[in-house]
Amino acid sequence: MSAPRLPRVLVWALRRAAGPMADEVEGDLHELMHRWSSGGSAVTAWLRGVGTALRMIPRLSVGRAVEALRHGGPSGWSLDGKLAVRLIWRHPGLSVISVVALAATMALATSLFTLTTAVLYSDLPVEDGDRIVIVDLRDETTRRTLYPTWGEYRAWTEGATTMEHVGAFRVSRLNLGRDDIPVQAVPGAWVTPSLFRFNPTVPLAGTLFTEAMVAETPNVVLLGEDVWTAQFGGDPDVVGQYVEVNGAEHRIVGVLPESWRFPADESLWVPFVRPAGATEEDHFPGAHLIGRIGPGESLDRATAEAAARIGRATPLPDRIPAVTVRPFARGFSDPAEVPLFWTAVGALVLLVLVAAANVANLVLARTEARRSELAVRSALGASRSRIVGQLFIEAFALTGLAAVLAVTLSTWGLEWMASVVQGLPYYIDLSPDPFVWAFAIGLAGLAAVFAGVVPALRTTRQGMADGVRGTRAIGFGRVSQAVIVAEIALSVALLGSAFALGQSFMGYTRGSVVELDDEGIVTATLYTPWEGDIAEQEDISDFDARLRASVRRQLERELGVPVGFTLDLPGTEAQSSRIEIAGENTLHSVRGVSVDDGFFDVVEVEASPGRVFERADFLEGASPALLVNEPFVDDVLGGRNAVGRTLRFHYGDGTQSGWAEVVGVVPDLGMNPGDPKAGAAVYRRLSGSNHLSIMARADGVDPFALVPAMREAAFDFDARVQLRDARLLRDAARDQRALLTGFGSALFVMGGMALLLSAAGLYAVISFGIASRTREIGVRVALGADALRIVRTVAFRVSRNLGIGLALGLGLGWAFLQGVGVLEFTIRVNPVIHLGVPAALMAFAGLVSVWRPLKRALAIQPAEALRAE
Amino acid sequence: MGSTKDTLGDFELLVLLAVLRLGDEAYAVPIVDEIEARTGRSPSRSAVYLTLKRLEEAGLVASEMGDPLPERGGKARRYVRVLPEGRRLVRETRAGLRRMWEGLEIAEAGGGAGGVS
Repeated sequence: MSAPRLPRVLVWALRRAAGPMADEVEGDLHELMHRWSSGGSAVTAWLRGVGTALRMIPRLSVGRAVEALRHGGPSGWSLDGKLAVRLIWRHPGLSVISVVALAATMALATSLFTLTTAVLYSDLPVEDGDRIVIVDLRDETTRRTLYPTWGEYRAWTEGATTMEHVGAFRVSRLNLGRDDIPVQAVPGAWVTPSLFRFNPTVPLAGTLFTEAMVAETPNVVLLGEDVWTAQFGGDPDVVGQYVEVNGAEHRIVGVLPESWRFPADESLWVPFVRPAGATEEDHFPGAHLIGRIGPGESLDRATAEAAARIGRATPLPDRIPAVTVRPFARGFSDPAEVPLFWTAVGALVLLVLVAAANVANLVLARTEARRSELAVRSALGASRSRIVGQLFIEAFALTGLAAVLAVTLSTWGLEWMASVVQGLPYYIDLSPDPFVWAFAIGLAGLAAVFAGVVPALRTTRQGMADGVRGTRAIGFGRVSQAVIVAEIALSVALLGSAFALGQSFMGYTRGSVVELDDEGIVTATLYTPWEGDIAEQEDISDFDARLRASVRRQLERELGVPVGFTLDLPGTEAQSSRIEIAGENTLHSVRGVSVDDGFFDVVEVEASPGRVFERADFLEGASPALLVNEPFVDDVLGGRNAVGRTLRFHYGDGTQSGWAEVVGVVPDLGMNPGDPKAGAAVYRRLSGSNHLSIMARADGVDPFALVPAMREAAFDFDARVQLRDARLLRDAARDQRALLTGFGSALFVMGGMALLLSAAGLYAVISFGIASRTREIGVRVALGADALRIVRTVAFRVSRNLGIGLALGLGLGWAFLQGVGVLEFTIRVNPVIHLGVPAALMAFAGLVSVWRPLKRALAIQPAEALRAE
Repeated sequence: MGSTKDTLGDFELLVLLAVLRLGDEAYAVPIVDEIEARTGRSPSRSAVYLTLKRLEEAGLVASEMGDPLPERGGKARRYVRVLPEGRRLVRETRAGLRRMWEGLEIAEAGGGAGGVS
């Protein structure tokens, strides 16, 4: 009786799993099945056999792998891994260029991926954090954020059935102070007490505030742990003490732990209460409606309900809000922007592939050079898939290393960015999570397929036997030529643009062309939270004028130092404006700078010709005056006289200011967007703003010694006015441009590396292409060909590819730079430098790559070449 | 030959004892049967193959292929015998275990962790 047979595929899998024990294992199983079938039914025996085989396959595979690891003996994939590491070691230059360039592009892609997932898919770090939602109110047509009216607030908070809890908050800095504590603007929020029910926290001391407590005494405050430690020295008896918040006395009821900084990154909380006398139509700017979705409810149902309720309560016919209920932690991005984020990530993944294609060129060249080695392995029994697998692992060793480096770089970069960009919500975690690692490793895999498998497939496609015999001439076909052309075009276009952007951003640090004596000038922002409070009571420009006059009077009296106000600090970028010169019909784009009469005293600048602003210019009824700077005279007026001309501003909404006379010309104070040539500016008289910069010159004393007096002077005028960001003028200019400088430097460095990689890739492809034809060239020379003609032929082919690539690249780059010019930044495109340098470098790399191997080919003795045939 | 071994694992000891008991008829199939019959444990067949391979690499057993057999689909058996080094280790292990048992008496039932005199 013959034994039942196992399915072939199972036998195959079992044999693979058993490795060298394959025959023995298969025989034993056969014997067992024979035994089982003679003692019972064939079907049972077959089933037992299949079961045994299925159990043995994974156990044998894992067991053998563990044994191999225990012995450290290379086998299979581990051998490939060792070969890969050895190759990296043996070609250090190639490896370093590949890894660094890949890591740079991967770091960019990884950073954007981290940011995208953090912004779009974060959840609050509390239980059911995804059920805490925010109501996204936007104007249906403009998509601008709308703030709820009190009527809408009531419609939302009273009786929403899809919600378990509802509430509202508003974020703002709040002035916190006391007799023994200097006033300081602290990030804070007005919150409804309900907030603590759906995003609970346990206070370190005291209690949270409740509706009942707030109804009785609304002036209560909760401190964050950091404020408690820094401002109150961690005083254990702080609960029950009184402090001033925006000038009003508040009782401290509790201290909240550092881990709870809801809604964004706050350290101070006061109750959100509807002011007495506020009507249903009044807005509370900055307020947001939030809540927690009830069990079993969905975002869609909540959205439908919110839209219906808020729509009914919306008072004005011209206000059409689009209402969406969204998870709180994802609520600050416009859903319409989601595809944009992913498109950008996709674009950077493509950039990684461009870098990988460059590495592919290098690997291809190396693979060609190793053809004999691969052929020997093939002859010894390695299958094509085995060899392709080996080359994939070699490439993966490079790209995997690059991925690890990329995640490290990206983590550093994001940490730095988070320190520069303040106010990142506390629940946004930019450290690399498993998704980020998976993304980076996925990128490494993709890049390895590009850089390893594609060249490997190409190399192994042709007969391996040719490689062993050493007779096949290696050439680069049409695909390679197309790759070279695309390579050059992309490199020139992308790198040219990167350099232009980089230079433009870098220019931000060198904004100022005048050497201001800015050592002793201290500056700070005076911020008045006018929305909802002051704006409704009085005209902001009147409030602002009185604030400035009061602060200036007090400081000049107490300290005797010059004080000035401005909207734009010297060395920072001023707002772009359009002006019209009387008698001319064209509009000119200039920088519009708003300053008071103290401004020029502080910076110690005088007008020539003419005069600077005087106190009389700011008196009621004074005729409006303007100043222009020297670049304005040169660029806009072409050197003509400026004083006495009349100008007016054109605003974005189509209206114009009144005509005003130019009374003086001042030097350039560097308020340009990073390019001194774009520095034409018009100075106008400062009128109302709730966001002013104050400047004071400290002669002979520590400039920071002036700050407490500044703060006090503002606070004395109105307790709600906050003094923020006190620093030296020089640092203010640097800080404003730090982020762009960082981006600029990064673009420069990466552009440079990409250029290096492209040039190396180009060199590899061309020089290996020619080197592989060395013998052919040698034979031709031996047969009497003119060496010069050969040089000409080869040079023609290469320069044709180079030429097409360069032309395409210059065209693409030019188009791209025009596109970039549409951006907010003024980018002065210098095609000679921005496109010319990368083009020249690529051309140089191309020519060098032709010259060296060609020289070698021509130096071959004809007899030697013939012998080789 | 592979590395030498100073000690035997539990399962390695079982396999070696089974090989010794089976004498000239020791190969994977009866080894599994032997262990199963005497200990009541059903060892994994894969574990037996891997252990035999490891013991062979360590120089404790040697193997040779028999003749191809029709009931094995034309495949041969791999017969195993214990080498002197393997015997020595088995003896040492037994002596060690004996010393550990000396003076110990475990209660038959309900003794819990105690019951040792």
